[in-house]
Amino acid sequence: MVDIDAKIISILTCGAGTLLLRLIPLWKQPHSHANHTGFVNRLYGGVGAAAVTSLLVAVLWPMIPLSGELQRLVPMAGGVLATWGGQRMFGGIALPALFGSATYGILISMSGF
Amino acid sequence: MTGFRTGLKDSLPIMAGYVPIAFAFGVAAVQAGLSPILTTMISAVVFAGGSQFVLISLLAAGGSVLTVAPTVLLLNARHLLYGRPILKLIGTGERTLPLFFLAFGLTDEVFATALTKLEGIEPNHREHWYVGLQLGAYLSWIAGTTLGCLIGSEVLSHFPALSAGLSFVLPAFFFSLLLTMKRRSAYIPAIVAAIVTAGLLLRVSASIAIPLGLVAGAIAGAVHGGQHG
Repeated sequence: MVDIDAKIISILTCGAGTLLLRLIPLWKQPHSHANHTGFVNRLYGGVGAAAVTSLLVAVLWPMIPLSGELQRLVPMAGGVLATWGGQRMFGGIALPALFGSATYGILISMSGF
Repeated sequence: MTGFRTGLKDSLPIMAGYVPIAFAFGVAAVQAGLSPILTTMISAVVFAGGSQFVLISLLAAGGSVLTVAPTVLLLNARHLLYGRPILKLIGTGERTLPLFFLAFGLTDEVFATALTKLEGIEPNHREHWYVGLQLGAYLSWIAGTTLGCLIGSEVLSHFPALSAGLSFVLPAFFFSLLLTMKRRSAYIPAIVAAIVTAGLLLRVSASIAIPLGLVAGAIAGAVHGGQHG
């Protein structure tokens, strides 16, 4: 029971902390457009693309073989290409992502990695 | 309620990505010795994908709150950067809801999707649209976790290709999202963020590389936009 209680306390602390990390920046009201400099507006404009790219690189990184075994890149390249192809064929976000994931899974099971 | 329903509908791509990943999380948590109830509770209370995988490893290893919480919160510290751009986009319309409703589901995927779509939503509907987007993502995350806890191990043992495919859902989702950003002003932030993040990942963990790459990309985009805009 003590072990379960300790786990619950850890989970609740992590949940409350994560919520605070998301909430704190919202407490202060943003300035109006008129108060923003052009630089700050351009900064916000670039955040989306920069964030998605950073996240993409970070989740792909563990799949990249940093020393030798370049054939391990084949399933990853196949998955990326299939996602791109899926985007051209279906548009949107979900179908291309599922198409890319399925291709990656098939290539991994075929190659035996 | 129009905005809320549209937001819920626009969360479908996130749901399609979340259910498989949460499913994998449910399987991993049960395999690490956590009960299905505790595992579902983690998804309901923490709702932060990558850090939840770390959380279950630490809990399984017997970590105390003093070791578990700082690690998880450090991993989620990048969320500090997400609120302001979202609030700026929502803030141009009418605000009626407590800030809690704007914060509870601000994950990487919700943030990225909201940034690409919010400008296309009518200002007065943006707040409810955003809550609908978060709620769809949140419920799918919990549903995927529960399914993974209850039937995950059985399903994956029969379909190894599915297990491998699950590990690529997140990269495919982010790449697919990136492909929807076709405006020229997105090129410089994306390229600089990719180079900086990759460079940093050679030396530091993803929890540090992601926010630094993000900031470097955004600054590069702002500087470049000032010179050519």
